[in-house]
Amino acid sequence: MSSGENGRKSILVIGGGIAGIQASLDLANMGFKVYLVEKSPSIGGRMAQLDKTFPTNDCAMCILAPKMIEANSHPNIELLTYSEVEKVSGEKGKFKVRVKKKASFVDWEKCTGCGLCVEGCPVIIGNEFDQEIGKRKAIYMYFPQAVPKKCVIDKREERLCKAACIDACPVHTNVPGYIKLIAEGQYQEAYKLIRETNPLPAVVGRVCYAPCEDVCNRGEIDEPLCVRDLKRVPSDQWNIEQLELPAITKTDKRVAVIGSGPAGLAAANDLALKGHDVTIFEALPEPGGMLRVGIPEYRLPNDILRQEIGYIQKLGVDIKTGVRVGKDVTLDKLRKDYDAVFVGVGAHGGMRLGVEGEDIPGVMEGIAFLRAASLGEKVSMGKRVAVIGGGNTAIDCACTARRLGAEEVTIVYRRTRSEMPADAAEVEAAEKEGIELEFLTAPSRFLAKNKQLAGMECVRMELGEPDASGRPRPVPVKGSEFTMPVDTVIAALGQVPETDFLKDLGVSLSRRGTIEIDPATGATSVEGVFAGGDAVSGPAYVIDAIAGGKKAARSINQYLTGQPVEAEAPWKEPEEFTQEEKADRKKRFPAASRVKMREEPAKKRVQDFREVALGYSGEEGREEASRCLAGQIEGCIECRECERRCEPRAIVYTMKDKTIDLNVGAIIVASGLGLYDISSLTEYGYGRIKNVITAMEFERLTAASGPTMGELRRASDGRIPENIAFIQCVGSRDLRNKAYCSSVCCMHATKEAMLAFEHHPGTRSTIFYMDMRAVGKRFQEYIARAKKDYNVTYIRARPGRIEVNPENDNPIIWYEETTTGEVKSFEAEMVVLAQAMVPQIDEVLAKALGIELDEEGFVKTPDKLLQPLDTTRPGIFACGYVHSPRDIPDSVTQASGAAGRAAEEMSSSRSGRDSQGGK
Amino acid sequence: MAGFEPQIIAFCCNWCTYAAADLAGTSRMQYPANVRIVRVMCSGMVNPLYVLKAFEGGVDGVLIAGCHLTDCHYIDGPTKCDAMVDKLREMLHVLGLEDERLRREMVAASEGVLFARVIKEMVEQLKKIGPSPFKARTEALA
Amino acid sequence: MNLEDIIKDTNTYYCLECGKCTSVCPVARYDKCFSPRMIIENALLGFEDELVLDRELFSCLTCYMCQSECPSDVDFPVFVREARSLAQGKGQHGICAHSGQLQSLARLMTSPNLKQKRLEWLSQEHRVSEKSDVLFWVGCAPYFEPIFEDIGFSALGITKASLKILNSLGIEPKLLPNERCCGHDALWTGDVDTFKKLAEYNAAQIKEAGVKKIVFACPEGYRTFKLDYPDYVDLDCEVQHISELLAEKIAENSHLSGKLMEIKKKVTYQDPCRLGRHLGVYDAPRKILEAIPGIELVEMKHSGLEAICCGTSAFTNCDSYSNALRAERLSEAVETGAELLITACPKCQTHFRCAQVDKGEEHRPTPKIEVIDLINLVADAIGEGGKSSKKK
Repeated sequence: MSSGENGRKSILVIGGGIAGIQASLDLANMGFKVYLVEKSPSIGGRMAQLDKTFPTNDCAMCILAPKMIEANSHPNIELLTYSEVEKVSGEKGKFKVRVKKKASFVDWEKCTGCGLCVEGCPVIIGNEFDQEIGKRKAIYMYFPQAVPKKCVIDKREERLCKAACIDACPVHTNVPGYIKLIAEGQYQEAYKLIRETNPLPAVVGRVCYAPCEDVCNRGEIDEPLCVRDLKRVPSDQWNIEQLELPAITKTDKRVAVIGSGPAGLAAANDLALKGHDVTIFEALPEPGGMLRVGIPEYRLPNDILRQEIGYIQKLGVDIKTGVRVGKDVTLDKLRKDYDAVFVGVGAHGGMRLGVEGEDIPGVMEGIAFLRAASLGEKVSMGKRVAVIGGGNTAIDCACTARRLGAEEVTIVYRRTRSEMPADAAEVEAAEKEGIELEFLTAPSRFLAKNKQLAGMECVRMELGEPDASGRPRPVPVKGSEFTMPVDTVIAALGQVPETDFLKDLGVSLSRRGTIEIDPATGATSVEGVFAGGDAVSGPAYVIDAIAGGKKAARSINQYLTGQPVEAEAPWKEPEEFTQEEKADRKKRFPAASRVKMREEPAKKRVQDFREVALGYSGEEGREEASRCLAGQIEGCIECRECERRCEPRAIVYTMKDKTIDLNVGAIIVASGLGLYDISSLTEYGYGRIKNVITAMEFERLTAASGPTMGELRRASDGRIPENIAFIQCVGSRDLRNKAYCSSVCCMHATKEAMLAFEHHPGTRSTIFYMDMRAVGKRFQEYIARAKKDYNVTYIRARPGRIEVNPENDNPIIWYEETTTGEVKSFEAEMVVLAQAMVPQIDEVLAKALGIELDEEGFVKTPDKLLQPLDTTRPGIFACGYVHSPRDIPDSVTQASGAAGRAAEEMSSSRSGRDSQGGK
Repeated sequence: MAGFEPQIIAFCCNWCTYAAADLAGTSRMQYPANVRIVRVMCSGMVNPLYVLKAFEGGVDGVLIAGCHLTDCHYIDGPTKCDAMVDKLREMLHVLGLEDERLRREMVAASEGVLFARVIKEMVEQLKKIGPSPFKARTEALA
Repeated sequence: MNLEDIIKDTNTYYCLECGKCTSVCPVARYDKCFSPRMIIENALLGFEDELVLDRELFSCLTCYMCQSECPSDVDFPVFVREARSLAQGKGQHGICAHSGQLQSLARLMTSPNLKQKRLEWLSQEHRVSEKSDVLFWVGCAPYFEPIFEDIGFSALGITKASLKILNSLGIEPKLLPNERCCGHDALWTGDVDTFKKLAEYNAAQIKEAGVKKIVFACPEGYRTFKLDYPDYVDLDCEVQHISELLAEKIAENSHLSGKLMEIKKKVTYQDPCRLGRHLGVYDAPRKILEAIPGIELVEMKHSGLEAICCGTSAFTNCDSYSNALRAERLSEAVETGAELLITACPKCQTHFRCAQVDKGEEHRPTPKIEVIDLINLVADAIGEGGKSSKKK
């Protein structure tokens, strides 16, 4: 029976508050098709914000929610939330209405309202529903009982950078997201966000090679962010032991992970989170792989590593140390006992120099040396040490040797400084510690004396043509031999995986001994066996190993759950700024250099294995984090965390505002009330004095779903106030602000005083009023009850000034007791201002509707007695606060009245014939 | 200016100048009758408003006369008076009033002769310079 | 004007009797008998005699604190002013400070053929010009000079500094040799007759002088010319406070800003009621202070719109309440830790200096802080300060 098409039986209701809902329900029940337009994401309006309603002190939401749900499910009502009316043309009986549906960036057809996206969002903004006392995320649900129960992204402007960091990161960590959280001091949230993609944030924050920093868009205008250093801030500033465990739904699948290095841990972590039963087999006595035995403690303290591995264990991962697969247990057995196997054994094998005398005691292999030192085994360290090699391992060996007591340490490298694969900063740091560098030199023979190393014969090199690696090939210079008097040599030439045990099973290996896998999925040539990390790639970086582990884990999960094992969609390449963008950003952001991290001074640090990098202080961290360009905008920064989390894939960043054209016969305006901006009333110190709040803020503080979960607490110290003052007519009955009486404040102040008492019996409330306007059924009795039972005192005065007691932040109210004429001061613990209320309709909407407003901005009524609900445009009616100041019951009554008028208009045969007459 | 008879208000100290005026009278000394004497308890109690009010009232000259510096019944009245007159004179000067219109004298109880001479001199001087510039205002008000 | 007209003219009928006025009134905090609300209520009840014969009518500082917050826009200060004129008619004049000589001076200045010698202090260092179209209003300064000498206040010091500053801006102003009292105090004590005459004399002289603009160093003269003269005389002329002029020049980045030398001092600023709440000039003096290198401005607990009056207005009713109020204000200034209390009104300065001459009670000594005019500070900053206190 509804026919919205020709508009004859359709009605538009503007405003989804209680009046709008009531009018819609009435009309829908009469058989009309109703479009209910609401500009916020949910219907409910102001009443939804209230804790209780007077004079019954009923829970506002309990009364409202059933009506909201009824409106949502009524077949004749079409909700158009997050929408605004732009234009109304035509005339009564055949209005054409243009409605703008604002882009929510969430496909509401798909959104289930689960809220997973909200948890991950790093952007924290004031929550308008909580009067900005509480915070919400950039993706949010308007309030917990929102109808429709859908999420919205608050996207206000385009992100200022390309977030190339995310693209460059092997695990695509949400860098702008966690940096934003650090900038806001939300360390726990930041840690959790990093952990989404990286199970070892504190570890990686110390040892990552940070490819993100190379592509950071800020680097194009001054210096890139210190992304790696920032990554450890959350764990430095917050005790990660407090990280809570997620709820995990267990499966009955078992996975064996071989090796507890970064790849194995990452795979184990991800699989455990998916509910699989994971066991790690570790050959060494302690877990961590290269993180434990390859990276010296002064770069990565064991405690940190232990903490992060500890959490993975808490997720249910069993780590069996001291079990070498292939020796203590066969791979074949693992394959039989477990549903899948991940191999992440790393590259722990050293390479030989192939030089005469290599087996003389005193000549050591680098990786074995580091392992022994890390595990606290006895290492015989001489006084004069040569380290051979130019990679990071060589530097680590040299610095470790220094810490073990070597007096002279020299790094011997066959090319020059510019060809060294080691990080330049690491080389510099080593030099600071007194380590010498000998370039263009290679050992040719080791010399023994008494079966102990006594010297190393070297040969000078010169650089020749580039070799396969693109670096110039070192060529020995004939006759340049010389002898270095050393008693210890550490050869750090490189590592190879030890993968012989895989051969039995027929896993295919490369010539170099690395495992051959499908690069997209991590699957080896044997079904159910996956691999990743250095064992696949040869020696590489920690984050690459983690990426390998994660990739394999994803495939293993697919394999175990019977899904086809498929590669992840390829990630886009990091982007640079265009010339225009670069110029623009340079103009907008004054150059700010990176905040340098403090370090232990070289003299002190070589004494033991204390950590060299000292981390940022919270303040330094926030300062560095606030350099991030992505975080400079309000609202959504498009880090896409929500998109990653949303299971129904409802996030649509490209969504645009949509225009909807409606044909309706009548319109009801019920846009409700706004709160008057009282910042001009400086005497009450609102916004300046912490414990002076507005009545609506008070409602949110006492509401169970509010920012404090219904705890009425002071902003200054979180204490529960026992002595509250209410000041009435703040902006109302004031010729300079709003001359009219807002009509409900006397009653809501009394209600709030009662609520305060009910929250904390004994609370004393003092209401400074002008005239007590208890105009309504049982209202006067309500006031009497407040005095009698709720410890409420009424003082007739309009205070002129609020000052602050600096000792306890208590507001001090100055007033004239008008019954005696005395000037007095009154110290309260909290002051609640009865902020004036204004009709929520502006010139733009009024103009779009073609209706007139009166001098106070309320909808103008042509005749208060004969047509009290009409507006100046025939066919458009008004009800609720936008019509005139009134309380909830009055608004509801009036809404039914307006619905009746609209229905009358629609069904009058005259108007129907008139409008169709031309056809 | 012919026939101009200046009006003078004289604030006279009860303890000396007023007695001097009395002495001049009982001794039948002749002096012009242009003066109205206001008896005050001390020259130190004459405040600027007394003088200004007199001018507001249209007088042509004001005399403040009291004890000699060391004779004061209240120890330092004449000093106070001198200080007040100094300041007042400066103000009246700015206002454009001739210096002769405000006269400060010290006349002991026995100096009836001096009192008569002061009045005589003052009347002569005032006759020469003519009526007070404020007189026109007073007349307009009346 | 009768009481009913006054009530109508000042919005008094709209009074809600809420007492906001009394609660912010600086006088009512000390003088328990004084309540603006009660005064208004009496008026509304038609108790004219009770209203005008009550000496409390003269206790009001007309500081505009009440009016600035009145929800009904009742112009209480103007109400008081007009009620005082009724009181004058019934012989109630209030108690005048300084024995009433200042009020008397104003009355004397209504004499038609006055030949003042008010510019004798003018010396060669000051450049003035007969032909200028800018007039500098000297005001009461030559009269204040002898009166307030003993409290170390030199009103002419401000005048001279003003001329130096104007000169350095390239302005050679005209001075009137026979300007009369502006009539501010007469008007605010209810002596409308005197005020009217003074206004007429001044207006005639200004018309004859043919100037386009009048610059004031005194907020009271400024207020009177800007807001009150138009009701009585025709004054076709722009008026400006020197702080506004200076702030304008500083904003225009005139050569003045370059001339300002460093003065390393922590200062606080007293908003004069006339300049602040009466005329809304809060920013200009602060902009000037900001422009002087080395000056650190610290605000008092009450500043700007909430600034507390110096305690006396129109040299009437200076009593123990006024003194208590002043002591309170001075202690607010001292609490800021400032070395100097800057004001832009010569009268504020007289009152604050005067209060400090009084040592106060033993257990509660009067707070001490040096008080100077903004103009003297600026003159010091451009090296033209000389000595702000009087020679001798």
